[in-house]
Amino acid sequence: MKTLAELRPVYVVGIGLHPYQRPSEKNYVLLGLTAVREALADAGIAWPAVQSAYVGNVLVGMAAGTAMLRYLGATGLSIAQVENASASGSTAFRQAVIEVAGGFSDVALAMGVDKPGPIASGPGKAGVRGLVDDRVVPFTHFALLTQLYMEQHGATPEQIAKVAVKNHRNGALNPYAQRQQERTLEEVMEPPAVSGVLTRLQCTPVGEGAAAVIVMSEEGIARHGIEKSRAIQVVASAARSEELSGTLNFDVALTEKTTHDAYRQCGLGPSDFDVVELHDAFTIEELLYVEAMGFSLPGEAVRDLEAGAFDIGGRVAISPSGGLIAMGHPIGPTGVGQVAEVTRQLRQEAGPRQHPGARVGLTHMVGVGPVCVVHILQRPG
Amino acid sequence: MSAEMTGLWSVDSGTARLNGIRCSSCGLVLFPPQLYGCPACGAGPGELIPAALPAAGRLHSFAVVNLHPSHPTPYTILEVELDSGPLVRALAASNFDPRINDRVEGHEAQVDGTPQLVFERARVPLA
Ligand SMILES: [Zn+2]
Repeated sequence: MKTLAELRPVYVVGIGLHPYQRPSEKNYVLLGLTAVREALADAGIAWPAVQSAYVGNVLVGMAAGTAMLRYLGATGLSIAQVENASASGSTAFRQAVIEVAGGFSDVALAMGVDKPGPIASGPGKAGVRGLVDDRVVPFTHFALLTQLYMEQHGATPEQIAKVAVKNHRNGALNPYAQRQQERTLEEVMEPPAVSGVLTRLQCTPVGEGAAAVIVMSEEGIARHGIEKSRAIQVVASAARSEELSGTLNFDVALTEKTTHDAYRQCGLGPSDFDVVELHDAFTIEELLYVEAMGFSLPGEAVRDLEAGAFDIGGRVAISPSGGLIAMGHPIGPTGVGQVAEVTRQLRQEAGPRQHPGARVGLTHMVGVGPVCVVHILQRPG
Repeated sequence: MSAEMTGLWSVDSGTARLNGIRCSSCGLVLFPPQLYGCPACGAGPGELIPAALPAAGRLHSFAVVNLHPSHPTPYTILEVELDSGPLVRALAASNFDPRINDRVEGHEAQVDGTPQLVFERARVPLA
């Protein structure tokens, strides 16, 4: 198997978003076009320059990507829609990166767009059902993990809720976030708990939105006159799916393996990172994943969190966008939105939520399957 | 599916057992049952043998659920590491106040008018 280090260098040169928001009457086409037009403008290129597009989408349905992108001009480019549960956008980005790295295209678009709606679920249709599957919705799955973490590490419900306080504080500085309001610990913990100790503000609000990034080879950068100082290199791309992990949670096991695959690809390790966007759909996930990624020793994530290590300006800013908890999780766009945020941070263009001196960043999504996708981005020079 | 695997559990002389499977190729024990193939070694349906798993194990985690779109709440979900290996999720018996690492065992009970396999703290055997 090859890694990006053995292929052509790939850079993110344009980013754009439609703000994540509560479901509205706005058509998905408008959401998606807003993000792509912003990404084209950011890169300073016109639509016909784009040779290939990957569209992350779960809920809109068949051919959503082509039905949307034709309104930018039907140029005949290659378009493929990518579904990989919550990691759909991350996987669309990975496909675009691979295509450019492999020399098939010099300019590719990765985007995601979604609106809440009925889910046609493969696992559901497989017909393998346990005793209480219909009673265990995602927040209960994560409530079970929270209770176990508290038991194993002596963590308190207050300490776990502080993840949401930090991420709402970050989201309040992000004009693209679905939740742009700071919350006190008391507000986050306000009863009722929906399941276990998890309250509503510790769970991601699933809404609608769109995100887009344009990736280029060095040939593409030269051809289109891209400002090199704003081009952010993608130095690792890793993706995995389930391996049996016994009683160890599958997302944690998968996160550890996938992240370390990515570290090996580029020779970077936990101490090298400035910003991380991870799959914090529920507060407990941030704690579990920062430990699995090596940013905290096992059981010490709450102490690091309380010490400010994961704040903007701390040792490593975790979810400076607000993460899934505050920025939101419209499913298809989420992984692409993470790449947009890390790119903005590495360009030093994140304004009031800028992590000072950010040079290296990581994006991480897990999804039903389970699957996991990790990318590492680095500012050249 | 063979006839003995159509339900998820069986009760025989008052003792509940889960209808799991064992892979005769690698030994993996699985619940819920399926006849697609072994996720550990890839062995085909012919290697997947029905296995009655004692409804007994150790409490791995739990959650009191206060919100659900269709089921009346609250109810408590348990995650039980069966003595035979699989981690299964089940309802708690209504009077059970769970603590992680409790020894638990399952029995059939009516929940919202339907029979369910529910778990609670194992009866301590008399000395
Ligand atoms: Zn097997």
